[in-house]
Amino acid sequence: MEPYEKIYVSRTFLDTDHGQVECVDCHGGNPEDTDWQTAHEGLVKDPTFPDAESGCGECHPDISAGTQASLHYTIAPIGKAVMRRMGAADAGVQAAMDKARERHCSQCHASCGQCHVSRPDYVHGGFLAQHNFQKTPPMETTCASCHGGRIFGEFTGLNKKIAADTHFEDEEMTCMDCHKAEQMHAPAGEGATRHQSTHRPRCEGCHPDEAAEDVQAPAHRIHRDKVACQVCHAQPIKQCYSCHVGTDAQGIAYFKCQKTELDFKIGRNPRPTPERPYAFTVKHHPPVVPETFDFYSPGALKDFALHPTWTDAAPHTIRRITPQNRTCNGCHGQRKLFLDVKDLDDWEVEANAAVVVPDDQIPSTLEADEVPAN
Amino acid sequence: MQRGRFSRWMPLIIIAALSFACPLAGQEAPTSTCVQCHTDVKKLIRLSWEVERVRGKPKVSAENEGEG
Repeated sequence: MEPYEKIYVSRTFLDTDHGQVECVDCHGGNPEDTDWQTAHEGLVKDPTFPDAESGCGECHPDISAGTQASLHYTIAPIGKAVMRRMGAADAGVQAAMDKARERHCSQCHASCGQCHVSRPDYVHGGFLAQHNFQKTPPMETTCASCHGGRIFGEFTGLNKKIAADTHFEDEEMTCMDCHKAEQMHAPAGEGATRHQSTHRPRCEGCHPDEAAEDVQAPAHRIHRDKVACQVCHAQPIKQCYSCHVGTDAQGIAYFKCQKTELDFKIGRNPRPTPERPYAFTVKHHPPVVPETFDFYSPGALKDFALHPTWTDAAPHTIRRITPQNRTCNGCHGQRKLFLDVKDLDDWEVEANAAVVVPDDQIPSTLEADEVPAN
Repeated sequence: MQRGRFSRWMPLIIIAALSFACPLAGQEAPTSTCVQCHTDVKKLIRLSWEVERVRGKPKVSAENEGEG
């Protein structure tokens, strides 16, 4: 995007409801000044962050109040994941880690404006449509700007040899067809992650018959509540390993991610809940290692081993038929599909003790007479 | 005949009278400097060069490695 395109305002915007508001009312600055440098003094680039209510609350009070506490706005789960691995820290470590989080994590929040007006700050902004507000953000620019590294590529089939998600390829669905405004704007409860959001998309929301107790398909009847849908219906997803962050000699934040690969691993569910009662779920490896933040505070993640590094994934590589569900034995007896202690580095064995699948818990290979008839 | 000629000029007379009464009719409302600049592509292109000269391009660390 050319620099001028990022800030070009269409005259059609001036005829919209939002265009009736004076620029200065939202953005500040000095509208009578003809010198661009002094005219932009005190300018508020994004009037919807960090206070969504002052920017949008006058006309959209319910939405802005909820959004301000939403997962996208606060990205609280990321901060909490770091703090959990830090444990109790003294003031010096805390200050150093606050700086690290500010430099490397806080850039990813999404405000009202960074979804509905411009691209997110994370990709250096730029209007989506010459300042015209977009009621439904375009997924190729808005969602993909932050989720392009893994999710968007998986969903649209950009990864070599991995088919696009059937919802995208066959049904032409967009992100927003599943992730509705109610989810995006919902306040997150205390300690909530995206897996606990009451508004999160669920397979049975659109496929209730497949999750019903009297479901016809034998595979669904047998595995119901034991295996998450994605265990059978997802393809490999992107797994990242060993990321280190720091600040270079020019004062610019950097990352070094040593390995990224497409892989598919099924692991045990260490904390079954009534909503997620499954014994087995698909796992994702986030890039964190004990030394990820050592540039800022060596050894800060001292409670690293208390939390698994293989966590529940939300694969966006869904297909009706996958290698593991083509036949019963596509999964049964397939050691390589299940997370093994051999898949772990030494430093993460303890952290994932409740997630790895021991040999005696791998579903055994079925003989021909054990295969249920369709 | 006299009356017909009067009715032919009547619309023009009304328009002229309204124009004197509302001198801004037909003109665009005055716009702020923000609108004048941000809706003018040529001006924005010129200014973006100047901004880049003053502030430099957004920087990405040369030390980045792997997929972010």
